[in-house]
Amino acid sequence: MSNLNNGSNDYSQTLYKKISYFLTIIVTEVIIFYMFINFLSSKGIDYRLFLLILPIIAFFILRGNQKITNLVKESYSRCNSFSVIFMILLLVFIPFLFKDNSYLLHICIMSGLYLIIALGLNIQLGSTGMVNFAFAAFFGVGAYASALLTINFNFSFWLGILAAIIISAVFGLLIGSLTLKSTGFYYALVTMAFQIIFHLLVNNLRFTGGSGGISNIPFPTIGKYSFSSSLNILGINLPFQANYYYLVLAVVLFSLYLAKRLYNSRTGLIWNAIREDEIAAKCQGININKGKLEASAIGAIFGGMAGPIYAHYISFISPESFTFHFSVVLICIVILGGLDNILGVIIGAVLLTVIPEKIRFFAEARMLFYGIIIILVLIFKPQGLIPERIRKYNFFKF
Amino acid sequence: MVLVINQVITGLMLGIMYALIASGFSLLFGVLNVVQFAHADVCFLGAFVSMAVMTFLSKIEFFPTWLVIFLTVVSAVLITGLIGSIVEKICVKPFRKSPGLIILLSTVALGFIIREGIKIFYPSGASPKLFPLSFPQWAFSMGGVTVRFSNIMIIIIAGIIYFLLSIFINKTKIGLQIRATSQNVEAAQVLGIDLDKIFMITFFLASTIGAVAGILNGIYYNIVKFDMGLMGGIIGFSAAVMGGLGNVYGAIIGGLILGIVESFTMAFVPGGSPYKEIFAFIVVVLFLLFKPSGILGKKVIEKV
Repeated sequence: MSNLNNGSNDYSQTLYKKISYFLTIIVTEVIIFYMFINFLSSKGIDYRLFLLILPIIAFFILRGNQKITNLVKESYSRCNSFSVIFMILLLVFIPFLFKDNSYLLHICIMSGLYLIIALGLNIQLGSTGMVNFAFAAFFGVGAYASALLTINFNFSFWLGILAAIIISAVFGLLIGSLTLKSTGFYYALVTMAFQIIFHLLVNNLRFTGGSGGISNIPFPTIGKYSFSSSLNILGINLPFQANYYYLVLAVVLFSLYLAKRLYNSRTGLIWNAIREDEIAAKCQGININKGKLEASAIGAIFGGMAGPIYAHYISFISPESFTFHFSVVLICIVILGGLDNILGVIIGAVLLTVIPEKIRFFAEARMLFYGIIIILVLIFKPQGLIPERIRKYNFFKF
Repeated sequence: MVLVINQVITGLMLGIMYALIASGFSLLFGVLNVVQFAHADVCFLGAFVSMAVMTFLSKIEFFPTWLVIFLTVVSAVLITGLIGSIVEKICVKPFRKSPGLIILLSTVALGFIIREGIKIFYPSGASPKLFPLSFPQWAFSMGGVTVRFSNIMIIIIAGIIYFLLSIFINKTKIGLQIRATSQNVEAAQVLGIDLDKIFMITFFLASTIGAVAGILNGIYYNIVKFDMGLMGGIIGFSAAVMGGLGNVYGAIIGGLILGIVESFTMAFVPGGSPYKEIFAFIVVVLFLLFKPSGILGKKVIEKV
């Protein structure tokens, strides 16, 4: 360490390092973003799909290079907040790129919604180890609660979303308290039963509209501005989906922040302890029942956040959107991405919503495709695309 | 009273189908300590296999009708058993060392593959199909209680199957090995039992019983749908849990209870027929709340 006594040299070196970190982040994120955009806007099999292959090959070649992988890893861990802010800036830019193609914007919105729900499921399936097959029901409770309240009681969308969150949290607590005693297979069975019960009830009760569902759910408004009107920013006319895109983006960021904080909190640690070994956790003085109830309620809150947005965006909901199939799709997202890993859930949600939309055969045989993915991932990569990382604590940083 | 007895008969028929499926769940759980969730899909695959075999055999126009029916049933049952053992190779064997919930997930996924596979690859698989086999229609009535030939036949067939199963499990050498494996896997291995073989045989056995259930279901209700395995799986699983997972006789009781609950809901709850599964599942949830070990199951004490 010869540069300890050479102040100016040290300063320029850190500056140089900082700039190299920033540049790496900018380059990698722009490449990822560019790939994503290309993949989204490709039609069937065309040249843009081949553009996708180049970065993937580059990734596999460069992965062996210690110097570059270290640089990338270091820059993301040192300049974490910059990487997040830069990614958000890129994401804000998406509606301008897709202003002529509202369908692509629709896919982005749906993957955002799936991401929010999958984050909630990740708390239960990934962190706490509760294999919940009723997550589509949590999502459905939120959607139905908000839709019914806005239509029948003239709630505004914003009040509706709040009510939906509370109602789905209560629903989560209810299921959680009924399943406190049952673990493993029994928990899975009870949640399957609840999923079927929810679907049958919604499908047959009169006030939920039966199998015809609820249509004409009002659009959200802010003051006089309705979300159904096209968004005008700096003289550029964006399709009305852009409103929802920004709403979903905001909620996604909020839920990511929430999930990250929960993961790093004591509660997250308690959840992991319950997952690893309930008896050992009990012996450590952890209140298992409280931990499980928290996981059920908080997971349900994520579903309750996404539900109203979905209902008011599509403006039509029917029982077919909240079936057992959808629960399995969500489980597929979490398993593919990697259990208890927020970055993994992001990747899983985006991949599994975009790929079936893009490739025609998959859209027809969607569930077949999801089933095959689950089995292949479980056999060949049981940790998911991004394995769970060992928790890091900065003990010496104040 | 007459209505109650008639409903009990209807419930028994439903219950026997559930019991046959649930026995498979229990058999597999007893030996492997895992839930093979796609079991019901394999069962109803049996019905589809029998339909395919039937169309094939009647196209040849070589055999007399009674032989066609016999060959159809036997080959469908055997093919389904083979499919069951293939399922074990794909979805259970790779995960034998991992926690049981992984196998649950992989078999749930497999269930989707089977269902969607039928829907996509079977000729016009998405629409409900008329089942080609049926029992003679005659029935006799005694003071308002109607008993059909099919009722008696189903009870007899189920009785024969359970009789054969109990002989196989209790009297044969392979049955002894299966029982040993279900008591303690390590000890069985030490005593020289070939686990791979036992697992394969158990899957074959459970799937053949399931195939009979699938075919009986097709014969009795005359209709087969590709997505029957989902509800059948959840209800069969529930029946096995109610009877005590791992106990084949408990599974019979659980299946009969669920069948009777469903038929009573249809008959006595006004407008209750869409809600019949709801009542069944409420019974299941109550069972899990108050008697999680099931009717005949042993109480599991968790050791550290």
